[in-house]
Amino acid sequence: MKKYLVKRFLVGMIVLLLITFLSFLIINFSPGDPATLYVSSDATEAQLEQTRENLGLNKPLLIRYGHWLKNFIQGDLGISFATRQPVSNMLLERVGPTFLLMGTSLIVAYLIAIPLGVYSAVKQKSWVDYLITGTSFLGVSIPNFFLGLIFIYVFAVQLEWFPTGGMHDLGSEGGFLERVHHLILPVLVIATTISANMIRYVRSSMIEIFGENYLRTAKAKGLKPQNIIFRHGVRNALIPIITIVGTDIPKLIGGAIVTEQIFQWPGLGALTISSIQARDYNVLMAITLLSAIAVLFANMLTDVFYAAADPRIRLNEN
Amino acid sequence: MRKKILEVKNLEISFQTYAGEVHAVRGVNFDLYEGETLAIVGESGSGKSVSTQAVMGLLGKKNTHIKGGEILYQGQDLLKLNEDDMQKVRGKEIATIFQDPMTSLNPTMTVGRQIAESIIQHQVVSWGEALEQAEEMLGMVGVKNTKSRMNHYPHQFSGGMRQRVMIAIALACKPKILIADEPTTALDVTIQAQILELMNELKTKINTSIIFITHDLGVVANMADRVAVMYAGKLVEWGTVDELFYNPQHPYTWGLLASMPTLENLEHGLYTIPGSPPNLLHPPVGDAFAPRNAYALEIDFKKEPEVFPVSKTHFAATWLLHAEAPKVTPPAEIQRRREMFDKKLMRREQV
Ligand SMILES: Nc1ncnc2c1ncn2[C@@H]1O[C@H](COP(=O)(O)OP(=O)(O)OP(=O)(O)O)[C@@H](O)[C@H]1O
Ligand SMILES: [Mg+2]
Repeated sequence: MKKYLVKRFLVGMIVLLLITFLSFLIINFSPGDPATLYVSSDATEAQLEQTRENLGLNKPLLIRYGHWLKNFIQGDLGISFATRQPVSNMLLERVGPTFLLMGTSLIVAYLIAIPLGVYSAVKQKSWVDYLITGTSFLGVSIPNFFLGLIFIYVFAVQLEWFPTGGMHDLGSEGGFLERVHHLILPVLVIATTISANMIRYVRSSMIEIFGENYLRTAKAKGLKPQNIIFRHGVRNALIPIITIVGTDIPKLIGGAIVTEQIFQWPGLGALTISSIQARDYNVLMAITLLSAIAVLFANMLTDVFYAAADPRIRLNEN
Repeated sequence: MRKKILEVKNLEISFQTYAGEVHAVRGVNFDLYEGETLAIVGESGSGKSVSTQAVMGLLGKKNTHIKGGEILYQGQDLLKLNEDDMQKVRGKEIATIFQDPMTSLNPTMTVGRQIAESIIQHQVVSWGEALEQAEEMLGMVGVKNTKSRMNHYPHQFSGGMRQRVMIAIALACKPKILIADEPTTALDVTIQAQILELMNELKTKINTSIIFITHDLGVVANMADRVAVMYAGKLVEWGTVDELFYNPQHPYTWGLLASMPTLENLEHGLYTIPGSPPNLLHPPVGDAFAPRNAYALEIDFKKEPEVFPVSKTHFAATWLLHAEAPKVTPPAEIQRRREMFDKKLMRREQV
């Protein structure tokens, strides 16, 4: 396991390097010249050139990449074009809220999906099952932003149960309850999409387990139905689900970008959108890098959990 | 006469499928006496598993229809019990081991817990005591180093060892009846012999009756006291091992015996019963075996044979036993067996 993880880590580093290079190309080749955004509209060509030099954009691409990489390895993510602040400071400020939003969403999503998926499988082909699978199908098909707008309209504008956005009330520091109050709607939006998907995985995994011989053994022992379902069923059904959690992370990041924007959540997602609009190359690079690290790390963590949950893997690796 | 512990009467079971109703078990009758081993033999699909899983209440609810009959366990009809009461019978009074030891154990639970789990379910003991009993059980089925083995997972055991664990689970609560559904089919021959020997040994130690399901007649002689032959959802012949092996009456039993690889049989080339079993979606009228039967009478295609007694313990459902039936000469192999049977009887009379 240890050896495997070290290998995974090294491969991950290489992948990361490739990602930085590719995103550097994509970001720099995307249309729009950042320099035009930082001068007045009647600026001369010389002024533009000066601005490019100030932003470090006048050198050839490869050299700029090498420069970026060298700084990055030294822990320097550069300066934001737009705010003239160190990128790392900006990220640090935004990471917390995003982490809070995504983490809560993920937990809520599984708290919804696992019981519903299991229940749906146990009551297979009943009207409850049809209701759950039908609703989850709906949840998968509705785009995040649309659901967000519906939620805002219904729960914030019409019913006024929740604020329309932000992390706390205007001009307030935000106590715990106030934050929770602001958190609920965006979390529900993200959690709906993720759990809708997850319910279907849990359900089908569970149904597959019901056909396993060892469940028949459990029944033949005279165990109570709930013991059969939980001790023998759910545990085994969730093992393949662990790998799916890994694939949820990119979706979570994508969902967070859109949802944060809709709910004016002061996280990385909102920063991403504004940085794209401002052609803020260094910030975009840093965010891409952070997302890539998050995804790679999540996948590695998934493997570890998978191995921990399944004794067949856990013991063979020694 | 020994006490009957289980009486299955007129059991009829069918499955609702997209193609229609599958009449898997069509009126099965058998008794099980205390302390005996009853073997049920028959081709694949004859309904052996279905009828015995019905005894355990293991058939799924969804498409299964138990159309009639009784399953009397110590006089109590198990088919009338509710799920809660049936749960108390399963594993405690009647236990079972299955054909496939590789997939019948939970891969993510230690073997010790899997045994202890059924003990704690049926007895008033602490978890610690249950584990102790489980370890004892593990030793009893011939697993070495029980202390460390208790904490191992199924994949750390070989096929034969896993079947031993299955036996430990089944016998953990000292059940009155053990249903062994082809327990050795998935194992290689030497392991097979060890497992059968273990079952015989534990049977006397724990004093259980065994229903032993197999399609290998070769192992029946060493295991069973009595044999029942099943065909297309019905029992066609039953009797003691000697009666079945040396004085068989039903042509299907003849076919089974003639296709059994013995030294003599191998010399003359192994026989196979022609044709294939009937489709149970549309069970035939008359004797279901008639179309494959070289000795079939006209009536076999029209009317279902009655059950004729051959002795007090031996019965067969074939029109050949009817007083007016023509006398037929069974295959050479069966005649040879009958001669041996007669000699045996004579010897017994002399004693
Ligand atoms: N759940 C089910 N749905 C439909 N048909 C079924 C079902 N279970 C069993 N059957 C059918 O019932 C018949 C009897 O099956 P059973 O498993 O009892 O045979 P068997 O004698 O145990 O055979 P084998 O030696 O292969 O184990 C078969 O024709 C089978 O196809
Ligand atoms: Mg079977």
